[in-house]
Amino acid sequence: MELQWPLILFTTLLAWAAGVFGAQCLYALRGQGTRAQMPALITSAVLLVVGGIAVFFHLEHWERIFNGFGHLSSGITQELIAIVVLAVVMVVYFVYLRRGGDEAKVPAWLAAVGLVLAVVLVAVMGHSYMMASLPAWDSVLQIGSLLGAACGFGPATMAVLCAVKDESLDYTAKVNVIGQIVNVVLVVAYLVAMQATVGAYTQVDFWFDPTQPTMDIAPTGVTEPLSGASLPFSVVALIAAACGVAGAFVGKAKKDWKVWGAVCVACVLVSALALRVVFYMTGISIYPFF
Amino acid sequence: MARYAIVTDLNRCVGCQACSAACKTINGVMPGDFWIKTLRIGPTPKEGGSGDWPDVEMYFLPIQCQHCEDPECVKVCPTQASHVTEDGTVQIDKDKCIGCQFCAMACPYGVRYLNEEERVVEKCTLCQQRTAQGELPQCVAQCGSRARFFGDLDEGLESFQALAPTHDLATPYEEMMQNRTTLGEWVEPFTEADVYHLTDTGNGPKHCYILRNRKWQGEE
Repeated sequence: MELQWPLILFTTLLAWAAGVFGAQCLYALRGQGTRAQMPALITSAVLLVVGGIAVFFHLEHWERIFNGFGHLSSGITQELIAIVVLAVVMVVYFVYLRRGGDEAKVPAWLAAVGLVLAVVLVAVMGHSYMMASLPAWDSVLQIGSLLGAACGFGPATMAVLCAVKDESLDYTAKVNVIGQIVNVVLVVAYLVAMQATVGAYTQVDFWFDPTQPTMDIAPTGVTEPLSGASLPFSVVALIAAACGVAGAFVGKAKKDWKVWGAVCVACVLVSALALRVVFYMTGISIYPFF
Repeated sequence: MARYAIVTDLNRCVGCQACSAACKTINGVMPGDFWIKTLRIGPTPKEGGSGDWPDVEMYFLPIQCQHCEDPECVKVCPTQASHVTEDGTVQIDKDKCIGCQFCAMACPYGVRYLNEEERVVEKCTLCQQRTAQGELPQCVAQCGSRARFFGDLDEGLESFQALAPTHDLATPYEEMMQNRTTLGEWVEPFTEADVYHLTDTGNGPKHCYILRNRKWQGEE
């Protein structure tokens, strides 16, 4: 399948937005990083909006979006509902932060709801791409890869924001290291899951499409993330995620999260984008002959 | 509610592409786009044979929208532009389509595509404009080897219809188009084991393929 850049940006930015919001809710539950709460909420909201705008570039007729929009079995509808619900909770979160003044405290129930909704949004978004027609996509580990990106993005972004607000915390290091490890594990898991779908496609030994006589219809490795044209992107996804883990450990050792937090964010971004590129490159129909 | 479908007798199909050409002509399908394609499957070595010619077999396989029983394309459509109609066919309301192309991704057969001019998704309509008036889909009517038959699955495969030959060159075109034969009358005998479908991922493809004395290639 051709690379769908608006969707690649949408999923990556939404995982980032959900990751940041989820991480700040986690911090709030533990009573940590109070000065970074408002910048984190603004960052998350901006990422959500930019991701939302990106997806519109995928729609050929976005002006018809309310022309019957709302079919509940559609993943797109479910995503929209999840985004709206999360946005409402973010507004409530914002109100509590403003009321709290310098203390910037939110109730534990709100932080817990925010954390759950951040996970739900990413899960719903990933679920909308789970299609039986595309074996490489039809895996819960595909959802896992997006959750992994959120786990990488959120703590790393919070680490930068805490550092900027002079909140050098041990908690930052702990959460970031765990987040980056979760990300790399889930990147590996999804690449393995994609590779394992190789035998899931309908196989015909010899065939010919007279309408495309010169086309290389099934180039070697097209459905495999670990061979052919997908391989470099899989390697980049893997190495960048691993560099994120290394960055988290270096940041922990040097206690310099302005630099190493940003390095972690950059690593997760590169890894997430590369993995979504592999995702589209291996998005081949189970009956790949038309 | 009917369950309209097409049955193709693959032992009769000669791969002439008349179905593709007829479809493109009557439905205005743009160059480079197809609502139906006929693939050549094989030549495949026969089981127990030498592995070389003449111990090989092949057949032609016309592929189009399968107008599934439980279509994934309909489930993923956010605006219900893709929907199942009363005749059991899957249709696209182009005025509702926002061009998200999730239906194209969800189709196991890849038969949906974005019409670059109208910027909406399209695919085979089973010639709804013709069948609603009692006519046959154009790919059935123009089939060069009378391999394709159209009908309602609830009425049984034997009842599926195609145009019948008149053998009288003076027969007016309109009359010729009303002259029908059925699959039960026209094709060689077949059993239930000879009836195949394209790979089913739970979507329930309705179109049927009859293939006798040869091995069906690929999973059903």
